[in-house]
Amino acid sequence: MKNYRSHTYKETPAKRKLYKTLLWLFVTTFSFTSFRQKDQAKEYNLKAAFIYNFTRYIEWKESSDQNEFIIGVIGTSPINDPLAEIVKTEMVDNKKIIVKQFSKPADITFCHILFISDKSSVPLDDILAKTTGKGTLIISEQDGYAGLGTAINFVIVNRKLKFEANVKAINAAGLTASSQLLKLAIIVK
Amino acid sequence: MPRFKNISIKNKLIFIQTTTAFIAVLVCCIFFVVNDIRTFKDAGNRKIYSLARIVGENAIPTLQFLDQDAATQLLYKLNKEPDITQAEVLDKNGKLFARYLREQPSGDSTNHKQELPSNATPGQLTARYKLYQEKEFLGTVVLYARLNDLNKIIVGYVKVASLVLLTAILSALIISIFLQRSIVFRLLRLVTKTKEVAKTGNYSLRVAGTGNDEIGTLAGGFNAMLEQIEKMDRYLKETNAELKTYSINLESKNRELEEFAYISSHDMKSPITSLYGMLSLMQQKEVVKPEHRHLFDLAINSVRQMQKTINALNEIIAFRKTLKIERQQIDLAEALEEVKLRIVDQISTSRAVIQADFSKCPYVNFPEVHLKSIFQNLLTNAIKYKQKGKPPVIEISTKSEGNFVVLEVKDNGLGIDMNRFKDKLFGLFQRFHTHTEGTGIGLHMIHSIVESYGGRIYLESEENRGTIFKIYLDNAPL
Repeated sequence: MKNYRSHTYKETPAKRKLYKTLLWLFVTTFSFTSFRQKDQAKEYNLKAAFIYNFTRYIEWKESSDQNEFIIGVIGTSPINDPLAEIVKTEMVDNKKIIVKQFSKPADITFCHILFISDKSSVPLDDILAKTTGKGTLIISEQDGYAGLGTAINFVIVNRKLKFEANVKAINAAGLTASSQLLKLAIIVK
Repeated sequence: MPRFKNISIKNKLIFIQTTTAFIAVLVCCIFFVVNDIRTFKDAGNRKIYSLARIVGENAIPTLQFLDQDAATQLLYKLNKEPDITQAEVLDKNGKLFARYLREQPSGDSTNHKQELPSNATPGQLTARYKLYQEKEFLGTVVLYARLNDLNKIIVGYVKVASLVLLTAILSALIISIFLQRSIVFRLLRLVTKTKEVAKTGNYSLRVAGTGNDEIGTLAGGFNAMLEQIEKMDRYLKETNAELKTYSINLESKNRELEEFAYISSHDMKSPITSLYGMLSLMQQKEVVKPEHRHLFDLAINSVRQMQKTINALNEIIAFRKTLKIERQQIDLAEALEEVKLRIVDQISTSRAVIQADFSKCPYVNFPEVHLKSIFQNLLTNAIKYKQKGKPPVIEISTKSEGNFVVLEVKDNGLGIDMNRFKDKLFGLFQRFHTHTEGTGIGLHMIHSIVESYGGRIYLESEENRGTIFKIYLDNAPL
C-alpha cells in the first residue's frame, strides 16, 4: 500500500504500470469475491443438508403437543434459502418443518433446533440461558463455540465441512445423539 | 466288442464288478464334491452379502455427512476378512466415495485392480448392497471377494475322492476274486470235463459237486445229457454189432444165391441145348406124326424160350462181374460210331435216323464197355419198339451238370404206359411190349450200370409219342 501511494504522484511510465496493477488487483479481487460467494452458497447448502440429517441421529423427548418440527435461526444467514428448499419437501417424524427467524434472545420461543449464524450479534450466553434444558439442539458455526456450550458446531477442516459435538451440552439439553453420529463428529469436552 | 467277448469269464466278472464299484463310487464322489462346493459357495455368498449389509448400514451416516475418511476407515475394518479383496462405497450418483483394496501378496496391484471387477475367475464373488434411508437412495456398497479356501477345498476333495476310489477298486477287486471262485471255479471244472469227454469219447464221466444255482443246473443237465448219450451210445453199438452180423449173413446168403443161380443156369444150359438139338433132329427126321405136329411145335417153342432165358441169365451173371471196371476218358462220338457199326444191320433195315450232338460235353469219364452197352441197349430198344411204318428218329445229346454228364436219348417210338409200368421199368425180365422178341434185361442192365457208378436214370414217356431217357453219369475224375 505504501508503495502504491508513493507512485501515484508521478507522471512516469511507472504510472501506466500502476494502472495495470490496479486493474489486476481489481480483477482478482472481484473474481475472488465471486468465487467466495459461490463457495459460500455451497457451504450453506451443505450446512442445511447436515442440519436436516442431524434430525435422524438425534432423539428429542416426545413433546406431545408439538405437531411441527421447528428450526430457529438467529441472525440473518445464507442458510435460510437452502433450508427453505428442504422444508418444502422433507418431514421429520412425519411432522412438517417450520423455520423461524429470531433476532433477539427475548424473541426466542421453543424450537427443536436453533441455528446461531456467525453474523448474529447476540451474545451466546443469553441464548444458552434462554434455551437450557428445553430440548433444543443448538448448532453454531463459529470456532470454539462448541467448547462454550453449543451442542454442535460446524468447522472447516482441510476445506471440508465437519462438525464438533459437545456431548455434555447435548445431554444437558435433554437430547440423545446416536453413536453413529458421534463417530463422525469431532468430540469437544 | 470281440476282444471283451473272448476274455475268460473270470476276468470278465472281475472287470464288471470293479467297473461297477468304480462308477458307483465315482458318481457318489462327484455328487458330494459338487454339492459341497455349491454349499460352500452359497455360504460364502451369504457371508459376503451380510458383510455388505453391515458395512452398508454403517456407511449411511458417512454418506449423509460426506465423511469420506470415516467411510474409508469403516471399509478398512474389512481387512480382518481375508476373502474380501476390494470394497467400495459409491454415492447416490454412482461416484466412488470410498475404497478399500486388500494388498495382494504377489503381483503388482494395478493388474489386480483391473482383474477384480471382471469377476471372471471361479470363486470370485461380488455383493452389492443399496443403501436407503426413509426410501431415499443414498448409495451402494460393493464388495469383491475371492473364496481363497475353495481351491484348497477342491484339492482336498480330489485327494479324498481318489483315495476312496482306489480303496473301492481294490476292495471290489479282492471281493470279486474271492467271489468268482464260487462261480468260475465250478464253471472251469465243467469246461475241463467237457473237453475231457470230447477228447476221450468216454461218456461215463460225470461232473462232481453240483449246487442249486444255475451252474449246478448246468452241471446237472450236463450229467443227464452224458447219461443219455451213454445209453444211446451203448444202444447204437449193440444195434450196430447186430446189423453187422446181419449184413454178413445177408452177404453170404446173397453169394450163395448168386452161386446157386450161376450153377443152375450153367448146369441147365447144356441139357437144354441138347434137348433143343434132339428136338431139331426129330423135326428133321420127320418122326412126328402130323396130328401131333402142333404139340411138337409148342414144345420146340418152349425149349427155345427156355434157352433164351437161360442165356439171358448167364449174360446177367457175367455182366454183374464186370461192374467193377475202372473209369477212363471216353470220346462219346467215337463210342457211338462203334456201337452203330455193331448194329448196322438193324439200323439199315429199320432206316433209323440217328442224330448225335456232343458239342456241349464231348467226353465222359466212364468204363468204356458199360458206356457202349448203354448206347447199344438204348439204340436197339428205340429201333425195336418203333412205331409201325415210321422210321425211328433218335436224338442223342450230352450236357454237363455239376459233377454229372447228362446223356439224353430221345426217340419217337411206341413209348411206355407210365401209369402201368412206372414201378417196374428197371426190373429184371420186365417187358412192356410183347409183339416183338426180347429178353427184358436191357433197361435192367442200364439201370444197374448207372447206379453202380453213382448215377441216376430219369425217364419221360408217352404212348405212341416216344420216350426220353435222361441218364446222369457220375463224371468222377480219373
